[in-house]
Amino acid sequence: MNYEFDAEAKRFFDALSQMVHDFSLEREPERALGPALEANLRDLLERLARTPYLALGLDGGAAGAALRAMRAGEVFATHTPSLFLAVETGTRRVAKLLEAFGTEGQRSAWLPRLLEGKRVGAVALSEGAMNMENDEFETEGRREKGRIVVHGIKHFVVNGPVADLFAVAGRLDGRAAVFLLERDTPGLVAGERVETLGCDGMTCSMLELNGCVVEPDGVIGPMERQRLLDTLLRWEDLALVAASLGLMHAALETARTFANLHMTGGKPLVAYQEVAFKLAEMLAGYQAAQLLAYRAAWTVDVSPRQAGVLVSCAKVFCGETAEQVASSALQVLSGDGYVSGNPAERAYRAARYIQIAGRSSELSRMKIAGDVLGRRR
Amino acid sequence: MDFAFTREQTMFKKEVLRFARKEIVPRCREHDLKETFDFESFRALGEFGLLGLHLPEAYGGGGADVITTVLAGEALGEAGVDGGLTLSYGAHAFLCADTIYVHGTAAQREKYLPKLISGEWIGAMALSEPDAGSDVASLSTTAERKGETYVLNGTKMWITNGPIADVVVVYAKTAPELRHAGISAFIVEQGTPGFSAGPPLVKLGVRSSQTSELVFRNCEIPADNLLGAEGQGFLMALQTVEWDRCALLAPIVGGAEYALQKSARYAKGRVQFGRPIAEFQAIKHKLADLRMFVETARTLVYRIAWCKDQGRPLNHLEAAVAKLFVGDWSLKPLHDAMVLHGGYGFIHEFDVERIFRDSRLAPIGGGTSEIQKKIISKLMSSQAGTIR
Ligand SMILES: Cc1cc2nc3c(=O)[nH]c(=O)nc-3n(C[C@H](O)[C@H](O)[C@H](O)COP(=O)(O)OP(=O)(O)OC[C@H]3O[C@@H](n4cnc5c(N)ncnc54)[C@H](O)[C@@H]3O)c2cc1C
Repeated sequence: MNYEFDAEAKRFFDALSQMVHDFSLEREPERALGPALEANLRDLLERLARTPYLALGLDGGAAGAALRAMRAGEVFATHTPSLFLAVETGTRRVAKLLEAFGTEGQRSAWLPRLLEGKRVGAVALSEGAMNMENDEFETEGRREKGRIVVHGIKHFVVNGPVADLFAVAGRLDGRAAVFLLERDTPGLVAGERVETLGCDGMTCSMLELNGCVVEPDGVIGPMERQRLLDTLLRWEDLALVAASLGLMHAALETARTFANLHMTGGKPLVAYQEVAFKLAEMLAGYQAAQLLAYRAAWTVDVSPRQAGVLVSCAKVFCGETAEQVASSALQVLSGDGYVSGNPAERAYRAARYIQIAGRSSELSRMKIAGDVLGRRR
Repeated sequence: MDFAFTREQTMFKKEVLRFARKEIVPRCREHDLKETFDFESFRALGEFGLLGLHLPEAYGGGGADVITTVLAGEALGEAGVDGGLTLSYGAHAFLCADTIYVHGTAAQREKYLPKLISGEWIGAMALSEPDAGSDVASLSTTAERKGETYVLNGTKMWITNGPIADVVVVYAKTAPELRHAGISAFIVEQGTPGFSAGPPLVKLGVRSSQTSELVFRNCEIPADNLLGAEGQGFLMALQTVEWDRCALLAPIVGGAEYALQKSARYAKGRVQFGRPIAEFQAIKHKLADLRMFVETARTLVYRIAWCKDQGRPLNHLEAAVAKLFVGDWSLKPLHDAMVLHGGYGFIHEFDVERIFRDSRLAPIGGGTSEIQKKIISKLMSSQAGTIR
């Protein structure tokens, strides 16, 4: 057992933190509007490409990659949760997909450009219902004259408005497959950016596929649907867990600083137990979430088959605790917290996304219970 | 980072589970119901080697590391051992015996440890008083030096194993004007004139453990029974917190795992509206929430154990987080485990009501949840750096 990261890992996290912190100060990505949204993502990707971050977990399952990615993600998301999610759920997830299931040709065509930060990716999974567990994919590729023609509508596609490469999940030959489509593919229409409650610096849109033609080497699969879903959702859940840790960290730090500096009745706020004890509960929730997340990620590294239930536990616990921590931070910050643009209110709004995206809290709970009930006793 | 137990640790946990299920659990319900102490089980714990698992082999102990010791505590809970017995074990092994081991002289260790480790003698620790619980520095029991003796006067309250203890580590003031710096620790044996224990208190939970008031009226003990030096008592009491935040929390976490397993079994077998209640989503959510609590609590508790194994000083913030989490976050899922059992959940023989009752001590004993929040918030506001 060892509850600490080694010195080399700590140096990596510190350097990453500093880099993203500087970028966030310079660009304020969480306040970005219009073209700045895309520019921020592309510029940050280029900077990240100069660090080991983008390739983390893409080295054929290097030891400890998921755990490193979890802590790195937390550090990243503390400064800019939106860009973290844009990089993670879009670009890095496409790269992981290519590495895990892609052909040699697909990998050599796309991986270098993604890892150099020169291309933005998007994964298009959700359809009418955000969760894909209960319904078949409606998006479908049909074989026509040696090519595959894809029709379908995807919703909530992170990076949709800006991506260069779309990995679109759908049906092929009655099984699941991923169609790799470039932005300029005829028939591919990425919708306008949808306005969302939170994650202001991230873009998200609908995606229409009106008879998009894919060459056979542009298809990953076909494969078993559940395998594809489980893999994609696990990666997404791990990223969402890391994001929730970052949200908590930022909200807690903001509230703590405020409580120490803000005076009322001749004393700092923190001198009042109503405030001090709230901070304590927030810290306890954050630390509990953090350790659970690390253990889940560590289990992914050492025992991937057993990791599912812990990832689901972390997904639910961290997502829900993030909302509670952010809510308490808002209460501590009171009026200042209610004014838009501070980390606590941003975390409060973004925490709702964490609980919905990936495998929702409800479906994750069903997974956990399934494991509990399935254990032979 | 690495969250794995060693093979030996995992095997040992399994052994403890097997032992406890066979030798101890069959009597737990009865003792909880009658509020009686299970001497037979206590001695069995000694024979199996749990009472001194963490203490050196030279005194009859097991010489185990902290993680193994904590695993054993978790296993007792997971096997279904009631919180009363595990609390008695905790007070005996960690609050009493360990204090004598860490701070005692060679003669004190020789005299007390073998008997405490075998279970021949039962130990207790007396710190709290009727008017001094959270604010322990304000305790008013005094110990006055008179030649080769100390004379103790005062009353202790809520002392686990109080009515049955052979040996008690008692905290008293040798220099009342110095507040916490004036607190010293003493070993007091049962039968010492002037020392008496009140009748067992009737409690909500941990009912098989015997809790009472202890009264010291001109109780004269040999000066040799001082533990360490005068004025060190407060620090000694603080040191027991290390064990309190791992070894004493572990059985509660194990108990929650036991409740989880019972609940899953019950949900699969109980049929309503023509199907097992396990098929209802609301039931599944309760199981999931309890599982989340167990997994999270485990991770926090073993962090304290791991740090202790590394020989590091206790991180008070992390310790308080573990205590607060186990105490406060266990309330709803353990309550829900009871509700999941419907009417049977309210019935003693289904165990879940006992686990719920037993767990309610977690936010009170050994420092309330508010005191944990006080510690955390104080450390948080004094830390200049950022939160890790
Ligand atoms: C079953 C059982 C077994 C026990 N075993 C032992 C034992 O073996 N040895 C031993 O020495 N003691 C033992 N105790 C005592 C236990 O440690 C104390 O009960 C506990 O520390 C709380 O002290 P108190 O009861 O005096 O509560 P109080 O300190 O009077 O607290 C009352 C309430 O006020 C709150 N409070 C107190 N101070 C503050 C503050 N500064 N800010 C905010 N809120 C505050 C508390 O959180 C609590 O809710 C045991 C208790 C029980 C119930």
